Amino acid sequence: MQSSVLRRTLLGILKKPGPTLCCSRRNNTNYTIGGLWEPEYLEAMKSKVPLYDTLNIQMKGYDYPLLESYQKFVHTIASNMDIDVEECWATPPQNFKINTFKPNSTVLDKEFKLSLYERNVQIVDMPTTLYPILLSALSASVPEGVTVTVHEHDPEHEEVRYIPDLELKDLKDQLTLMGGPRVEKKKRKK
Amino acid sequence: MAEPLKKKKRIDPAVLRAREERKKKKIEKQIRRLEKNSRQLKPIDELEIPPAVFDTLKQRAREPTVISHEEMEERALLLKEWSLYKMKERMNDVQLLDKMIISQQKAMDELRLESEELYQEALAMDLNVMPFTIKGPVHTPPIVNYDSPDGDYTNITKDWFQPLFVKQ
Repeated sequence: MQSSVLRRTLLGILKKPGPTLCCSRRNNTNYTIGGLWEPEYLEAMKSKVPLYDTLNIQMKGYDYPLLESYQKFVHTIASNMDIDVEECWATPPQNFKINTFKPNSTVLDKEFKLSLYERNVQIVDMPTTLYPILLSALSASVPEGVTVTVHEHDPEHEEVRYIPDLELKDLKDQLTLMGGPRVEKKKRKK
Repeated sequence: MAEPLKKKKRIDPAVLRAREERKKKKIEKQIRRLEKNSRQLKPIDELEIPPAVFDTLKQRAREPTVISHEEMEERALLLKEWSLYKMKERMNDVQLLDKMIISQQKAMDELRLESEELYQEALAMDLNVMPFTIKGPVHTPPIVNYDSPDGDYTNITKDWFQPLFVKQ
């Protein structure tokens, strides 16, 4: 009993972290993954941990210089943790008009115009193990009045940045009314 | 006086279809032409120079003030001290993050030795934290028993789908 415990601890010490996850599952096979002639580093370069595909860190706040410096900070933190930051962009702000009424009447008391500014940082291929660490770094450093949301990237988020082309939309609607685009015949090469 | 009603000529359905196809082709060609021109990004209000300022740029230009030699030296020394302080702060942050990552890696290795199942569970994506919202602190805490006045919030962001001027 004791010798097996000793053996296990020795093996534990000698065992270096991670030969690949895939290899550990296929313990006793004779063939290598990817074929006999594929170089081994291809498998070794793959991540041993599941990855999140694309995440957006969206920062919203009413004070935009603060927001911009926070975006810079988030970018540096992410790159220090060896996370691929693919893109950073700004979305046009949401403008709000806020009215307060005098008590017990609808007489306008005060009117305020506020803009909610937004900045985004896009992260690609982040390992699941690093994600909680990033979240705790973000929540520890979030500045006054800023709301941070981390979510998966939607094509909608990309669409919001562009001016919608009304003509294009009209034409596309017309085409669908007429019954969809034409089916192209395959051209035979002579 | 009504003329005797003309008999409606029967158009060959193939001809009809051909007409439809031609119209579709025209529309598709236009779509392709519009799509080739890359789309424009919406202008970002806080990054645009307001046109009033842009027009008076030349008037607003000033010559740089002359700073004495001692003042410049003082500023340079202050900048060095400040950058040293900020560097130490940044190094602290980076070291803290590194410590967290290393200790997590150690814990994962130990977990793996303990049980492979739990290790795989730990690696899996957690849907509770996706999406995650963090709210920043506020300047002053909320006032106790505050009687908030009536009012409303209206979103007056520019709606790009509605044209500014509706053609009559």
